[in-house]
Amino acid sequence: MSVTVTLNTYSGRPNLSWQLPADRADALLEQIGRLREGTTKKPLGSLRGLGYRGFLVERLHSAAEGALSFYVHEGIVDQGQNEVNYVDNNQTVERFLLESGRQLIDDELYSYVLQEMAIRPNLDALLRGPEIEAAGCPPCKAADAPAYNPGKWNVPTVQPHNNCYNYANDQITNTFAQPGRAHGKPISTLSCGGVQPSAVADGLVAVGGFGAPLGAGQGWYVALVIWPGRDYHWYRQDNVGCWSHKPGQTAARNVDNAGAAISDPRTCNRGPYSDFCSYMRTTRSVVIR
Amino acid sequence: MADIFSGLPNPRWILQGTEAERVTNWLARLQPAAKGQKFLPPPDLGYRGFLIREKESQSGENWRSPFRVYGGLVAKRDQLLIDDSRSLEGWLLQSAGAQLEPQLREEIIRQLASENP
Repeated sequence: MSVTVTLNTYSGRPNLSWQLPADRADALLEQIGRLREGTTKKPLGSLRGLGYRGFLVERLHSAAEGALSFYVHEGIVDQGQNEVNYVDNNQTVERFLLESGRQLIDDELYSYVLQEMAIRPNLDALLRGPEIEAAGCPPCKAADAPAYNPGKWNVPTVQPHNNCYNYANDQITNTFAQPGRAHGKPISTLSCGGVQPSAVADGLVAVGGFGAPLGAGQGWYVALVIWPGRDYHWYRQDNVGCWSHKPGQTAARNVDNAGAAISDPRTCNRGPYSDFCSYMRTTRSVVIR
Repeated sequence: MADIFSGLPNPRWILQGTEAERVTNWLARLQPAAKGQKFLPPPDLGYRGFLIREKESQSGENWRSPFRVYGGLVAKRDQLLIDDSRSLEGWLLQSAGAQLEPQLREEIIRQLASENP
């Protein structure tokens, strides 16, 4: 069964996608097999914003050769959470993928992608976010607060399998984690009183606000809200001070239901999640499942 | 699947036999959206439409990636199709049966009845 390559470039229209013939698929996998330098880095992907965001390579589970799914961007081959990432020296794999779709890609798009491939953006600046956004955010008092990094969450191998609770705790479990499930204390009712104790069982601690300093090892702030009788949702405060969230199996984002930056989940637009329960504190030692 | 929750797993159900065939035929008859028309993204929280996942083959066990039915449009992989009067969306709601609690069903009906998604 053939391999599908998708060129991630567009926002409104569908991305270009093509099948690799068997011999080209073999050649691609041989190139991947020759990569030796491992890395903990991940491609920026959608974090870089609009425009060229790399290539997605997939093969279905039903293929005799087995499933395949990896992402290639900015000189990194990202094979997902359970595999090692490799440095794609000289972007050889990335160029191979671009050439493999040359017949489908018009000259203007081809030149654009080549230009973008030559740019290595400043990762630190991107993770910090634009200064104008940081200026509107409250101070972050938690030394361990995670960086806002949607690229870590908004990839096919992660996004559908991790929910708001995974995101708030900054833990990818691929179990669509539920409060209390790891400790035998399932949610009793879809209310503040029915969900919060389950989170406490996992190790989260209810707090009155998010203004008290938290030193290294003391975690960061999250917030629990409820759609009465239906569902729960979590927000987390990032190191820039504003909050972000991941609604279910959808993408992680740092805006509320009205598209505004979130300076306080108590007052942001929360759609049907009308009940604000409390702020809580979570840490890296919290266990969720 | 009704894409509606954040914490809890979304309600999901399987269509088989004549129901599955009906949806397949329905999708095949949908007209493409006008050039330049964009899929209006659903809100972050609350009802976000239905996600349909088709089997790769009738006898197989593997499923294709899901696509979204929401707001009068179907975003099916490389196609944007018109769901006139949100009819398919309404039918999918009906097909949920007992998988959707009555109050949740009412919430979705309110969304479908609103002029703008």
